[in-house]
Amino acid sequence: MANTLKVSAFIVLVVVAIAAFASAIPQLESPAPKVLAITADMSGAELAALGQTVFESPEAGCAACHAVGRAGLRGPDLAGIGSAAAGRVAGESAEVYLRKSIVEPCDHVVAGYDCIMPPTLLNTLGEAKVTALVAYMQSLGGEITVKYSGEPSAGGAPPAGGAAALPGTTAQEILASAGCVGCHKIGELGANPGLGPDLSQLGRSSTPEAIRRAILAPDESIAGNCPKKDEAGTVTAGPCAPGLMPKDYGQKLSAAQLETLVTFLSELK
Amino acid sequence: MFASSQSTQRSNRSFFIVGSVIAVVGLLLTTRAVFAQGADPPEYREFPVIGSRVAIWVTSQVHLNFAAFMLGVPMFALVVEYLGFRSGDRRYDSLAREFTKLVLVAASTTAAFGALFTFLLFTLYPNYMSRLTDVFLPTMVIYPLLFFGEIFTLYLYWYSWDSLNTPRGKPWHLALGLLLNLFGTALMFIANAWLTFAISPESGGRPLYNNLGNFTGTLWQAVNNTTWWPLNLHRTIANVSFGGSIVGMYAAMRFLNAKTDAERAHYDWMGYVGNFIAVIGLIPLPFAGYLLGREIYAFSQQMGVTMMGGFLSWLWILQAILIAVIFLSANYYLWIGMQRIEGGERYRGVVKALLVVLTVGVLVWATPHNPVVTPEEQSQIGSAFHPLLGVLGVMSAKNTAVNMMILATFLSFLFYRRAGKGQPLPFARQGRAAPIVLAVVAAICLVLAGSPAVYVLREGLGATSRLLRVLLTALHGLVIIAGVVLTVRDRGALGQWLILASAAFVVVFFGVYGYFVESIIRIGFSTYQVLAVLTALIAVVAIDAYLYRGAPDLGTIRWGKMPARTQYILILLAVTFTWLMGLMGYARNAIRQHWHIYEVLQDTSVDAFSPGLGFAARVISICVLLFLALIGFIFWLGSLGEAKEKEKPPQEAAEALPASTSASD
Repeated sequence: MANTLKVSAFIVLVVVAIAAFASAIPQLESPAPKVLAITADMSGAELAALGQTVFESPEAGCAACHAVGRAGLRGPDLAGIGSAAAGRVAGESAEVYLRKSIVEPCDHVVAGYDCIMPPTLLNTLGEAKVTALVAYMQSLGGEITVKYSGEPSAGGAPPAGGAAALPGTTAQEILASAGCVGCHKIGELGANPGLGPDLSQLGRSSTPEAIRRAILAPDESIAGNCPKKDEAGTVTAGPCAPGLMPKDYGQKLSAAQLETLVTFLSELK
Repeated sequence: MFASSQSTQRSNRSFFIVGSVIAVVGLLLTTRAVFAQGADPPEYREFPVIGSRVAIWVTSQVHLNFAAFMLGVPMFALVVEYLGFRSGDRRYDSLAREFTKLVLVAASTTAAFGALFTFLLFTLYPNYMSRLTDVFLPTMVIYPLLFFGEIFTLYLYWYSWDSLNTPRGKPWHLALGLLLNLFGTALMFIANAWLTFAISPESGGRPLYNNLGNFTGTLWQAVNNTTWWPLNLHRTIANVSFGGSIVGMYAAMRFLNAKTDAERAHYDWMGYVGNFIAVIGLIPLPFAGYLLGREIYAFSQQMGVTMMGGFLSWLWILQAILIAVIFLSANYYLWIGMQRIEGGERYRGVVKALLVVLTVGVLVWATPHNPVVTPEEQSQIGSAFHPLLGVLGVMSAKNTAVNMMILATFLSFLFYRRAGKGQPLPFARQGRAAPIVLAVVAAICLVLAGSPAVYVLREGLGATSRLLRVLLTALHGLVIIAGVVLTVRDRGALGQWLILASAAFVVVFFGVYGYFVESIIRIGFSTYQVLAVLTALIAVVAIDAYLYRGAPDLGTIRWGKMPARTQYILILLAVTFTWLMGLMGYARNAIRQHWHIYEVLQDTSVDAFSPGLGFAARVISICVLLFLALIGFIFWLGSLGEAKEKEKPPQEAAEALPASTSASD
């Protein structure tokens, strides 16, 4: 009996020791994307409220550049955009203009700003969340006219089977279609300063393997040299914000596209 | 001592009846849940207090542990019974019988947890299970039939033990044991199909769902999905190992509570056999794990990166620690075990070298690629990787470490095996078939080692890389042939050392060379490392079988003369194995992240996020303790009825004393 008790205590000790070790090493969770139940029968106000949630989510990343009521760090102030949008382009309603600004951002670049906004939001977010974003923009000083007519959508789900959805075969084409240049300065390309680190000489400090991992799992190692622009416009360097870079490039890029990017970036010295 | 008493048989029967009733009730409830669908069934239901995730997690993990016991132990029993049949040593037969009795008791608990698990799945996740049922309905009909087949065969196997214990009857009894294992393996393969389909809904590189989320494949394609065979292989080998470790734990507990030297001798021997089987399974397990990982990468790079470099990256550090505990424990047990063999002291010096290899291997394997640092510290380092240790955290170093650890463990076994043996007999006395068998083994090794040549020619590799691969493979092949020739010329030990040295050279060479090539080429190097080690193990075992066959014994094995700490090592081995199984279960499910069926059916429940390692560790620990408590109860049940047997003349106890002095028995 004494031996049985000793063995039991030993087993408990071993199990507790393993669990304690597992609790002591870095704890990483994988959050699920926020599911927004967007339906056709929603009122404009409800849609706009969901749109604000999308706007502030890391998944969309809008708030990283834009602000409401003050100039954003990299993008225009969105206060009053709901009414201002109507008169921006002749023949385009506010709803059409705003949607285009989100889906094809380089078609409507506000004077004084560069086209650094990624053209991938429709792919990333899905139709329902983009519609909600338009409703939110309209609610900023305008009338909400947009309606979501589609099926209930979780939004953002990639096509089944993980087929590559992005166009482009050369490195420059892929960098543009994947929206990399929206956040990174890469030689003559891209935002300056961007949200992410300057990659112009990436090949000097990173191996091809590290570059590949950084594309596929960006939060695995957070770079410490992201440009930080304060409200006075002064640019300094500091740790990058985790969760900002999309984590689904492994699903969007084909293997050939990925390797083209890795080779191109590793040769930047 | 091991004959079944009537009371034990009655308790077994009643347990089976209770288990069957629970299983049938569970299936009926499940069927209701499937077919009695209302107009608008909910996507999820919530389990009170602990939540649906934990409820499913605990029941499935404990069920899987029992299922592994139900699979692993009959495999163990069949092998041991066969050894007894071939050698005429009745100890083996008694051992197989003792464990079959435990399987008999465990069957009902396995069924009960299986029914509970199924019931909870269909109740708490009706939408997900409906999607799975749409694809797998025929297999869900076959599954319970196979289960009944397994149970009835188990009963037939157990109750016919005495009546078929004759020279003519034994082969039939062994055939029943084989059938029992076939039923069990088929059950596991079907359950693996359900699990792996959710991970990789793709077959032959073709997605099984279209963009609208409709299933477009066939049942066979769903079963034969990308990760099905690798998981089948991995789980089968793991079950052998797990079965051995549980046998070792049982033996250790009985050894510690033994009252007589005869009992201690018997359970010491049983522990040795359990550990032997556990390590036999452990050696190829990393290879099977590698294959599974490679297929996951082939299915989805994103999933592969999530698994190895994403939020699960630290899981592999924990896994490395657990496997290190298993490797070190198994080796330590063997080293101490050599002390009870006269002649074993010859290898004491070599053990120190093996300890160094294992320790260095563990340190390399457990080195994280990315250190735990704040972004500020990372800025100061100037990189995400530590300047010195970062070099050890990559796959080149880790693959080299694990292969060297496997070689070191194999050497421990080799020394243990020959510890009590004197000079080998001349090879000419091994019979005419011996050189032919060795030639066939060498040919198999050459085919295995040369198999990547197909890929070498197909891949667009540089001339240097291609030449090096071909040269090293050819060199290793030549060394194997030389090893066989040396054996025939009575220099077998030298031949074995040459083959092992060649394998170590290939492992280290590709490990170092991997730092100088692109990762896409480096990944291919692990195949050469694995095949060099695998072929070396096959060739050396074959040579050893002839080398020490009939060799004179140097003395006796003092069975039972093992310190108590070695028994705790056997228990540690089983506990760590069980915990590791739980951890791998978490890994397999967590790589799907917020998908029920990867990239097809999204998890929108409150438990859609994947929890961190600390939470997982607490749930796994609960599962392990629950399983071990129940197994302890089953061990106790199995021991009931032995008291009356002990009152009889100790005929069986006498049989428990070792008849042979060979450690290779």
